[in-house]
Amino acid sequence: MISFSFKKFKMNKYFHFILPLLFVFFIQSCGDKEEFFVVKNIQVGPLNPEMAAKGKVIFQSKCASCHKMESKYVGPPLGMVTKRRSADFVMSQIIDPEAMIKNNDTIKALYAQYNTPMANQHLTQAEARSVFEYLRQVADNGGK
Amino acid sequence: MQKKFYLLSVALVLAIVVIVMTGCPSGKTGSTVSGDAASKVYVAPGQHDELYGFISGGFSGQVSVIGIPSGRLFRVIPVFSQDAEKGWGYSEETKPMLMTSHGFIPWDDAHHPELSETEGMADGRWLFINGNNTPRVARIDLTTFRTSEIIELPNSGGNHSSPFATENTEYVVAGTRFSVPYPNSDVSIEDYKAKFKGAISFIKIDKTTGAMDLAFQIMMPGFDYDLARSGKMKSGNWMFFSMYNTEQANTLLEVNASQNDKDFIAAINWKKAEEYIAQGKFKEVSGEYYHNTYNEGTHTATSEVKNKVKCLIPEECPGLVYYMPTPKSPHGCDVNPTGEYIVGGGKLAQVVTVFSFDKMLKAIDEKKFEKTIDGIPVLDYKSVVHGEVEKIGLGPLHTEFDDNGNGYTSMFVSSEIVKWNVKDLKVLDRVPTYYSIGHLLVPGGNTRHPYGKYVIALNKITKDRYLPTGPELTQSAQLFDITGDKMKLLSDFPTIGEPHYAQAIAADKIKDKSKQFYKLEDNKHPYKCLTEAEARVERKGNTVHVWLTAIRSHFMPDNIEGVKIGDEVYFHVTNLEQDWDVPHGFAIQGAANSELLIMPGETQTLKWVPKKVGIYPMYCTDFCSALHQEMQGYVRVSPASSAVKISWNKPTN
Repeated sequence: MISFSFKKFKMNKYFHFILPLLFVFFIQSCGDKEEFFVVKNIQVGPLNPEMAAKGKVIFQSKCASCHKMESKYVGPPLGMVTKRRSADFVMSQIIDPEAMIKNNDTIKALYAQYNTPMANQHLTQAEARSVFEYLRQVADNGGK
Repeated sequence: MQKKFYLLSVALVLAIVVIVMTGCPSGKTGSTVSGDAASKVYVAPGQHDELYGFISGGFSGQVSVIGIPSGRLFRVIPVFSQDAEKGWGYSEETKPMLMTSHGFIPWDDAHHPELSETEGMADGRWLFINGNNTPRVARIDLTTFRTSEIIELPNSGGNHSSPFATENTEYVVAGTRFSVPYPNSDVSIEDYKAKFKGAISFIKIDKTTGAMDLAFQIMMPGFDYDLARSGKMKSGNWMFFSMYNTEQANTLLEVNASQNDKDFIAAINWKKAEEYIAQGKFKEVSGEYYHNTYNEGTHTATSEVKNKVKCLIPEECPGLVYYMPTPKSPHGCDVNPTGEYIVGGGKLAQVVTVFSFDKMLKAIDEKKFEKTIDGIPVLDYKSVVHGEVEKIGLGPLHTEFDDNGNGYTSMFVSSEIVKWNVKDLKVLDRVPTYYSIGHLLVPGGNTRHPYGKYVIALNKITKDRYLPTGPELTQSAQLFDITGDKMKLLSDFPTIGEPHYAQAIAADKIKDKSKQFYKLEDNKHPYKCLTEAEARVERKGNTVHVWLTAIRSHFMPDNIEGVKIGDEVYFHVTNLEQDWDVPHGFAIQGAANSELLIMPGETQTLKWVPKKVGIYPMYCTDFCSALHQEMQGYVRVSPASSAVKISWNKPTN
């Protein structure tokens, strides 16, 4: 086992390493933080009704116990979610909600509002994509 | 001043050392462990054990799953028992698992766990275990750690020599401990010698699914069949069974079944049995038995009732069975890793008898028979024995092996494990056990290549070893290191029920195959409810069905009205979660059974018959989220004459 003791750490000896390191961390945290996602750069083309149909079946079984389209339920209404969030955002939240609640500021804010962390329903990326397509279709039809 | 203080300190330390050394309780040699014992059993937080251990829960009817070397308990698997914690045997889906020809039997005495094998090595697919009282054999699936199947054994009086498996799990066997009339019938007990027989059952195991099928029984003389073991490699076509009460006593067996100097180990050629079955040389005998299977798709068990069994009679099947005379009321009947030596633990003898398989074949070939019993040749003892391990200890019961040619035999009466060399029969080492060891376990010690790092004593009595808990004390196992010449005690750990026997296997062979949850799309339960929109309540006469969904952290519906006194209500709860380790529980006030514990993706049913008018809370019993405490609802129960119609709350869009 590796153990580490601050007592053994000779401050003056390492000081000239630590200062520049601290500086680098400081500079990085000053910059605009990129939003945390689990999947990135998901490309969305014209609406694919077949994919949306698949997504609807998945949504009803694995998502609809907590999300309605027009009204708040356990979680936020999702009728127009694809108009306000990216595919990267929605799919990341479906695929790994545990990582998102730890790292994504928007999800953290939503948790504060809804009090319930979203369950991981273990959708594959393809399944999450289908659900996103279904939600796009719902939004195209006015979010109902 | 400082120097004086220093000298005083040294003197004090020395004094403490002397007091501690001389003050050691001299009678407690069992507390003596070597200095590095703790580090050898310590598994750091978050780390995994090296082996899975499966220990029979004896009269609890269950199996415990532990880690080795830590001895930490992970799970208790209900097998021949109801388990309120898991709803096992209480939910409508699991009740059929405990059905027998005697009706619903929610308890049994579970003795010997046996891992399935491929080419003589434990393969980590299934664990079999016997029920001794109402004779049964169960199969546990080691992806779900749940009982998948239970088969009852007809015309058997107590399934003890069971369920030992052949080298590729072609069969698991089940020899009756108590002989009974065959087929069982109303006869005088005084007719024991004439009418009682000992059925040895061979249960065929499906290579792919593990499904059990009672292939045939061999109708043996009316002795008590005790333990069994498959041959290995060259002896792989043979199964060996120990037996006592060759005196055929039917009362005060303690005395009357201990008269003969030698009883027997039977060698049964199961390949020969298959030939006789294929030739049609069997009789069909009546005997009702249940075969219960749990379907992972429907999440439901079903029972099939069968009425006939194929029976081979040794007298009509030459070459099927031979007896080897064995001193005295032998218990263990164990085969070494090469398959050459068969070891009889002569419970009432002070020797362990070692037979040679090669000698046995030669003796059969040369017809060196002492006599025949019911057509079964009794082989000449001197022609088949390799040797006896003398002065080994008192009450030798059971032997397992390491990979270096040594046997480890438990001594019940003298409470010790004795290590001896199988070839030259010399005793090499002995260690005390606390107390009254029954079986023992060397991980893989019954396979072609024992893992051979540990031996575990499975003790019957603990007396002063743990904090007392009233008249009933914990059962216990003890872990010893056998990597050196001398066995070294590492730890004691408690077990559930009576730890008759155990099996162990490298964790890697099981852990990655462990199921995490049931996929909703594979749920074929007739009352599944896969979407909240379909959640509903329906009345059919006096029966009310509730299609209930559960997800963190609410039930749908959670307000139900219209139930009346006289109704039988069935809550079919589907857990809509699709994540590992998120079971939901379900309980309702006044339920006369237990909670349900529903795994993710599964549907389970609780029957509830409310007796009083009023409002009944229901809630989730297994902590599921920060809002678990909010996961609750109400059912209104009205008088039988009430006009309140069935209604429930529905989610809106």
